[in-house]
Amino acid sequence: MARLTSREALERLRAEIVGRRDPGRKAVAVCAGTGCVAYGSVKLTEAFRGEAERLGMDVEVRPTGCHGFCERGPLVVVYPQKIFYQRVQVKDVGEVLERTVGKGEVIERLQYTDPVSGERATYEEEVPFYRHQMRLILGSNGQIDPTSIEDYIGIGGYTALSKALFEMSREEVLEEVLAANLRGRGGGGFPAGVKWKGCKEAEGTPKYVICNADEGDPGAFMDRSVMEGNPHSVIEGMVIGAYTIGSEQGYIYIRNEYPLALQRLRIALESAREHGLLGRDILGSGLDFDIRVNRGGGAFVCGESSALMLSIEGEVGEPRAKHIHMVEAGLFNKPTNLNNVETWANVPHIVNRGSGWFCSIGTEGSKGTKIFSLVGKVNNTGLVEVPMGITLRDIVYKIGGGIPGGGKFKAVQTGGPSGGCLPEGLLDLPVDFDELTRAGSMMGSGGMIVMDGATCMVDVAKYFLDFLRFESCGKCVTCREGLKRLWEITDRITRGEGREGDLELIEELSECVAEASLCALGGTAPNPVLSTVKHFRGEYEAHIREKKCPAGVCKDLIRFSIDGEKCTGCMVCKKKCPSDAIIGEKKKVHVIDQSKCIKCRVCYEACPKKWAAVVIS
Amino acid sequence: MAGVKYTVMGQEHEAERGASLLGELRKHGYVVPSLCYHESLTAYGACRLCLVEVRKGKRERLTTSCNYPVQEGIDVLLDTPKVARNRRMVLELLLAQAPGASQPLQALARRYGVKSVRFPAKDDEACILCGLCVRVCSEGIRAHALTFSGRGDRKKLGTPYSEPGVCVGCGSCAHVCPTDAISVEHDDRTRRMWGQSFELARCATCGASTMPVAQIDHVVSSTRLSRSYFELCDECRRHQSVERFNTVMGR
Repeated sequence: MARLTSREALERLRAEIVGRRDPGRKAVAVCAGTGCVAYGSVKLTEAFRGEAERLGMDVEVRPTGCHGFCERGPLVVVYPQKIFYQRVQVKDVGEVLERTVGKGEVIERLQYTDPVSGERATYEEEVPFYRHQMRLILGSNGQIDPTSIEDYIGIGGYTALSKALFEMSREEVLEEVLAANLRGRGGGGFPAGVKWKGCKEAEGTPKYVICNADEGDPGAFMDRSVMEGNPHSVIEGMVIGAYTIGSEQGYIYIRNEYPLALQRLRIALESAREHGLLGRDILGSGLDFDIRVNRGGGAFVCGESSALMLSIEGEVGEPRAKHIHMVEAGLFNKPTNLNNVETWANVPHIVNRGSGWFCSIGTEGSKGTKIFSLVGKVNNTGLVEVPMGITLRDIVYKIGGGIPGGGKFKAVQTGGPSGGCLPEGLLDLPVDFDELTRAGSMMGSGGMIVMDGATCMVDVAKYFLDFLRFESCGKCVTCREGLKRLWEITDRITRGEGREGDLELIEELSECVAEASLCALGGTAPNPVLSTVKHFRGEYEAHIREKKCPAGVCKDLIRFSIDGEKCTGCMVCKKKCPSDAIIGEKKKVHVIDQSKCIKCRVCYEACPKKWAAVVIS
Repeated sequence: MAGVKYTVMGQEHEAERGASLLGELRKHGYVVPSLCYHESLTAYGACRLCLVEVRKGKRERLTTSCNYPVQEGIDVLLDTPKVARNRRMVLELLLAQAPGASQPLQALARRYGVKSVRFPAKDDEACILCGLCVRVCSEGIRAHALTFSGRGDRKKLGTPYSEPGVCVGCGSCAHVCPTDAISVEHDDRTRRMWGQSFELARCATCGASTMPVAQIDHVVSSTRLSRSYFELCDECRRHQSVERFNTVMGR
């Protein structure tokens, strides 16, 4: 491929790509996001290719980025009709090719059926999971092969870059991003435009732009899916940022635990270079800019901007005080602008469609969309992109399909390990940076964990404290020692050794950790424990005073027994018990030997629902 | 040079732009406790004792003063209820972490009103991970023999990869340690620290042991001082200087 040396050359290439494509062409798009890969989509893609060849069918088999509905993978979309199939297995391949691709018939078995209404969905947009979303950033994932720059160019990729370079001054681009009030999607919510402006105006060269792809929240995969599914959107955003700020060198700091995202980014960077969209004299505009990839070693704290920059420099990733801002003295002490993956991916849309359009989405203080990874006790887990301002209730119930097994909603945690747990009463809160912070949680980078009645909130707080006490960098006494002590207290409470005064001590210590630590990790780390003490105080008190775990989770506080009136003596639990703690014979009531019981819950889950004879007390 | 003007509880002061607020406060006689600050080393902000409240425009924030660069127009508040409350908790955390720490920490705890420690303290750990030793070794001595490893509550101080290596045996780490956590053992011929034994050089005149040979090698190779400078002990070098002086003066 010859480098594109002008705007016209890019447009010629685009016309050629689009011209080559027949919109009526038969194609099978197989999701190749990490979730679907885990479900076997690589083998499925091969099977489609092999079978199509065997049948002599003219059909394009295309692996695409993450479609988001990971719960139902592997996902397949058949073009041109866009028929949506879920949980497609290798054994289904022949039938899909012959009936759907060949004859245009819909296979009911592979359709999505709404568990509530019982209605079958033929197209993606009919699935409630998708219907209530607004997929600006993720929308293209399912249409393109993330390893193909031509696919990206074919759907209008790099038009924003060429518009910025040839139609807009640096100041005009900046004005647009400022007017869009694009707030940082990595957690802080700081306006990206203000950062850009600070960095653009800062004295000193060279200037750096960084993409923070060190997504470390447990259960979060927003940025991973953007990089895996549409890596060029991130690169395009960064080049526009570099043009605006006046930078020649960019970095993508990505965690090494994201092998697929890393691989696709590298392919994308290489092809962008080959096409003259990175490197010297981009599109003949005179702009020089290239991007290096730095891999993180798995420290959560390296997602903090100052620690991240030290890590790129080869130092230990410990946050430093930011009284002098990163935009003035960041990486290698030079002006540096850092934004996260999702923020960068928003930039091409803002440049293309304007700040007015962007501001038409969202709330007063939070514009555009936000991606969440919706996980936990919710029917439709996956990646969702919603307009700012949608309520948590709509995400959990309309998109997430509610709680599985008719369970009862208990709490939703937003914002990753340092987010707060919000109870039922706050479900009508809108997704908005400021509203979530006011409620004692935060937007964070977009983790969203739904919990049901079988979740113990003390145990949840303990879990996040355990994560954070190991992931604190350990520099500030308050964060290092404070989190350790908070964990110890919650651990004691879950073991039935809680005392009067523990909750007050948690509150007092939490204030110190949050107020007196240097960086945002310490500043937000007490959120899970504080919010659960606030909203679920009674549950803590039950552990402390009555030595009971109401949710039946904390092993030291519960006991499993068999209700003699309900037990039919079916032996199922006895056979499954790993510690031979169940005594009983066929058709005779079983008994649990408490001295042998290890409280593994196997009997509770094994007992047929219609009997439900195993009880937790 | 042009300085920046700021106030401490209303009292006006002037400082060089970017100077450490803690250093400035101490220069003016304000008492602010700290365990991890040394005026010759980069401020680190680990011990969180030098907390102050800084008012800048409408914003008011709690911050450590050691790594806060003095800025134009700020007003600094010391020992506010918020500072006192947080400082007490920090001291309580430190006492629980390092029950084996020496007097200065205990004295600070008494002074700032820590009455009891509500967290279990299990061993006789003395290190509070303040990083003074790491900084003096790298910034001062330039030996880079000490480092932190791990993170969170598993963070540890030690030599890189826990192997004896580039330590020159100078003992600066133990000298700056605020809690006497670093062990240095001596006899007439050797010094032992960080898992290494260091042979001590001897004074060419009186035969007394002086400093580790490895330290002399390090200083000679990294400065312009000649090896002969280290041939004598301090005492004999003084004598030699006096004698030379007398000779020159013809006494």
